[in-house]
Amino acid sequence: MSTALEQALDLCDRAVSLAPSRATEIGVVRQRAQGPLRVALAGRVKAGKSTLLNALVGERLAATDAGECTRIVTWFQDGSGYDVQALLSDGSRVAIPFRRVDGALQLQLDGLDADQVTRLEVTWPSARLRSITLIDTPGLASLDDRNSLRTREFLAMGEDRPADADAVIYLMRHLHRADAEFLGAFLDRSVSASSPVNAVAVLARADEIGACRLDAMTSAARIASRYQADPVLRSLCTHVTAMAGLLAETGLTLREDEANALRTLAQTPSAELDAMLLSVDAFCEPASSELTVEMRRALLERLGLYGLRLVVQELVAARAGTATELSRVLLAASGLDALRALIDGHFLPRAQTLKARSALAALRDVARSLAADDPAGARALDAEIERVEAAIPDFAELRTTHLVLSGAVILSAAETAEVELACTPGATDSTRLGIDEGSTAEVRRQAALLAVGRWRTRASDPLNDSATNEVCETMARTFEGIYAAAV
Amino acid sequence: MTSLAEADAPFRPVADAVLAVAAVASELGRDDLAGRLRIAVARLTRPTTIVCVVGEFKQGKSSLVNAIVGESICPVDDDLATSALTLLRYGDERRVEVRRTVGQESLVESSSVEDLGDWVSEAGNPGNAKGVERVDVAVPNSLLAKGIAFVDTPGMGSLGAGHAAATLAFLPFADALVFVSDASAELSAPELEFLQRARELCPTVLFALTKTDLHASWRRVADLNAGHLSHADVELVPLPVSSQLRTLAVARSDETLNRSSGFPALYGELSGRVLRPAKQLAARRAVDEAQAGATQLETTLRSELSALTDPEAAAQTASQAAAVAARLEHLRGPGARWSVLVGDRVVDLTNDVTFVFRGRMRQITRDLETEIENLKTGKDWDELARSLQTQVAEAVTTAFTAIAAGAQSTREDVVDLLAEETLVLNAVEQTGLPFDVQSLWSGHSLDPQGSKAGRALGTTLSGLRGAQSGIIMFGMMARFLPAGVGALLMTNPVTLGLGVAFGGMQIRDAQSRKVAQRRQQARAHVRQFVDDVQFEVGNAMSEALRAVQRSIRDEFTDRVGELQRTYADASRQATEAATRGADDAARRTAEVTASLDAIAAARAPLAAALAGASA
Ligand SMILES: Nc1nc2c(ncn2[C@@H]2O[C@H](COP(=O)(O)OP(=O)(O)OP(=O)(O)O)[C@@H](O)[C@H]2O)c(=O)[nH]1
Ligand SMILES: Nc1nc2c(ncn2[C@@H]2O[C@H](COP(=O)(O)OP(=O)(O)OP(=O)(O)O)[C@@H](O)[C@H]2O)c(=O)[nH]1
Ligand SMILES: [Mg+2]
Ligand SMILES: [Mg+2]
Repeated sequence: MSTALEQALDLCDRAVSLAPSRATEIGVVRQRAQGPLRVALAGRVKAGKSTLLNALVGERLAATDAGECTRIVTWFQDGSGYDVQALLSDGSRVAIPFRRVDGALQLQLDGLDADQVTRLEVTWPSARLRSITLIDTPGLASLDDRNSLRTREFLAMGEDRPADADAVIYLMRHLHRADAEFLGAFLDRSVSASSPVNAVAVLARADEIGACRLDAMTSAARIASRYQADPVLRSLCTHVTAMAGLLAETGLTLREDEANALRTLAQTPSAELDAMLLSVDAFCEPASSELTVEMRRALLERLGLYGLRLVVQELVAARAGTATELSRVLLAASGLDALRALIDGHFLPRAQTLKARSALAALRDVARSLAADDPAGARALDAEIERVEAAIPDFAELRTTHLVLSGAVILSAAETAEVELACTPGATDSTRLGIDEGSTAEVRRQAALLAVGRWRTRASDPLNDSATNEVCETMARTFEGIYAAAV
Repeated sequence: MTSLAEADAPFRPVADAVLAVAAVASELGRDDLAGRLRIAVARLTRPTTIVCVVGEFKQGKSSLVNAIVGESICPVDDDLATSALTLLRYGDERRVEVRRTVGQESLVESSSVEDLGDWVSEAGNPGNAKGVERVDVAVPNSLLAKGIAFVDTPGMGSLGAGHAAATLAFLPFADALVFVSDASAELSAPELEFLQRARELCPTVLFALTKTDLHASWRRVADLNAGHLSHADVELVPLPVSSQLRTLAVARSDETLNRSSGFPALYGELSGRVLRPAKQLAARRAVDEAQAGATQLETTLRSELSALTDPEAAAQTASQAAAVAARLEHLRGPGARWSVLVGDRVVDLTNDVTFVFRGRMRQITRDLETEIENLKTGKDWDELARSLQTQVAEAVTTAFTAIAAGAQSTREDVVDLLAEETLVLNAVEQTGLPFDVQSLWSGHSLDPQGSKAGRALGTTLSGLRGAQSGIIMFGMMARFLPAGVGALLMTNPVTLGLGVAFGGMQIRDAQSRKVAQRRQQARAHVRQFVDDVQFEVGNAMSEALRAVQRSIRDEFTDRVGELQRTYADASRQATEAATRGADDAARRTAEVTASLDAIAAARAPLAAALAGASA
């Protein structure tokens, strides 16, 4: 049996013959489905989205600033050469001149009216962008309504149109009502389009949540796990991880001159050093160190007060010295590994399904636009999409996982564990059955048969609501599939 | 910029002058008058101004309160901390009182500062499950002794909803608001929206930009915020502060560190914009009372003096004064016209306020039921629940402001009625005795402009602040609102799972039976909620109205009592004067003249002292 993505691509080919007038659009849908997974970084203004994006790429590509900064949705994608283009609302493209200053990418956007730009596309050869395209978005709840609007439009919230992103990394600094609202709305659309588990939350600028004390990251991790257990958040997304994007960004891009300056700083007599690290103003007090004030300001911007306190502590204790060692200290503290593990373990295995889902949603959009000039073609296309969607078990499993993990359907702990296992993307059938790896086909068949019986019985419980029934039916079908494969 | 200590200076002469009058009153055996003046002076030394500290969660509100008072009292945490209101004020000894509702019962329990976290923090009292309405913390703290009470509030914007609505509802009763936003980012749209709304409800707003020790770009953020504020026509300047540095500065007694904490500027604002106006009002009242008290003392002495100098007329003076005293005795009784008026007006007020409130609640219910019919997604339901909270909180605020304003105008009418009595009394007496009764009541008027202007106040809020009733009303609101908010919380769509349920089913696609069922459920929730609120508010309103009636009756009964004593004394002294021998009379005349001189001397500096304090 072909995968969800293959079926979606097939559907694209058939769609062209059903709606030849829309061949170009369908071509774009097909191309996207074959490309990398598109993951958007979203959150309130100044949540640290651009900084985190840079950390994920390992290069300073997105502009960051203390004042409101990102105003245009920007795609960062892998490619063979370096190129930046603006896609304008009239469909045309213009090349954007750019240069690098101290390792940071700077775009010359002068004369470009943000309202006229649909998005920027930065093409950058990078191994990190090979499997995912990252999308930076303007902050939500911004004082400049137009910026928030751009993000909402991009994520197609409150519109009958598919989102351009397959998944979202949502940055928050504590769970604000606006955050829950956003996630709820994103989820609303996802579920109506019959799926997924496509959001993870990041407790961002985690070093500041613990007031930059040396135990700040531990404190933030504790808060993240509390959120992860919170039923409200759990119903909106399944994972929350704490992360200091700035530390990761700097850890990955630390320069030799910066490491030098940090070593000089650590030489300062301890009483003076303590006084310097008391506050950002004390740190920049001209008389307190031989480092130039400019250098100190730059260090503050790159590391933050927590990063400085941490690095100084490690340098003074002689646990780190070289730039490489300092980088390692920063990365270890940043929480980047945990986020990467989430992307690798949560998004990427589902990438094909998520992309197939996005493609189907996009085709549905094509059908809608077709309805005006070719109603019969539109109906035929719609029916075809419907048929394919119903036939793809991955969608049903994705939806089941979502219903169960979000708490919309409440099962026993054992049942929940069974669902999670059975719906693990890319796992072997033995793993999915929860039996020993390398079990014989006969053992697998038996286990699957038992499971089918169990879920069928569970499905016939008259007290079930329709969502529970749906989950039970899907599970029964999933185990039937496993049974069939073992024959 | 003035420090808090310097800010006291102009008011000291006023306090001294009023106390001098009190001393004379004591000497002349009028401890009732002296006591009242001493209370007025205490109010001047320590006006009870209420400063609400509000903002989104985790901006450093509790830390700010702790840093201001220089003691760690309010619980602080990296995770969500404050879950209930804390009123922090001066007390001669540490005392913590927890006010809460369990079931239908209101409890007041005593606790300790150490255990505060069990009541007001998310850790000890998650989501305020213990039903805490307010915790009153009294501590012998030198800053609180200046006369500011701080209210630490739960952060707005958490999923627990309701907080913003509740906080806004309090503002009409607060003297000032300290809005807290940290330097990590510029103001967000919801923050600015809140500030704009808050400005309408509370004229004195300060903006503390916190955590300046942590954020290298705090100056940029301060500038950006100033720009946003002026763009939105909100005249406010961010005051950059660091609670962390201030706390260290206190621990180390480090003046340089203290300066860099930014707190001296914050104290300057608190002193200049919160304490000073409150003290000026208190000074005016204290001086008015001192003048009126002195007049009463003079009344007795003058009538005695006239009896001494003209024994012929003594009997007449005595009988006239006795007639006035008898008339006043009648005024003290429950049958007096003013007393009946108070009763009638409170009944009217009760009816009016209840009628308007009920009507408003009915309207809200009707509007929402229409909206529920048009409900599309779970998100819309969220929106709806929030608008329900806001509208109800506004209706409650309106009701309580109407009670406070009604109390105010009733009081003014009593003053007018008693002024008519004064004319009657004036007709009774022909002795030329000073008889400025009017000054007595208006001296105590809530409105500095006096009774007539006060009546125009009906709809404005300014007269409520700094008024004695302020803290009472604040207490009423505090007692009621969180209970309402608790109910609001229960209807929170997320908690109910209702929003999610709606969201999951895309109403337009789903089977209509299910949708109809959900709508039915939503309507039932709204109605239940409105009923609960009406019950709670109904109780709180009757309590507030009873308190209003009691306080007006008590106040005027006391005043009439004082006056009555003045005239009874006058009559007795006049009678005694007539029976004195010549030597005795001469000696007494000298004494009385000396007393009158003493009063005049005590009275003389009052006006100048007040002018100094008002400048
Ligand atoms: N201490 C600390 N600062 C951070 C962190 N991440 C970002 N920042 C700082 O926060 C500010 C905003 O970061 P950005 O990455 O530009 O935030 P953004 O969400 O992209 O902002 P907008 O695009 O304007 O909405 C910058 O000054 C960053 O240096 C972090 O993990 N720790
Ligand atoms: N360095 C530093 N940290 C601060 C300052 N003010 C607050 N914090 C820290 O910020 C965090 C939140 O402080 P709180 O005072 O609990 O904030 P809050 O606004 O009362 O929080 P909620 O009651 O939960 O809304 C704590 O970790 C404090 O230590 C400050 O001026 N400097
Ligand atoms: Mg950005
Ligand atoms: Mg707090």
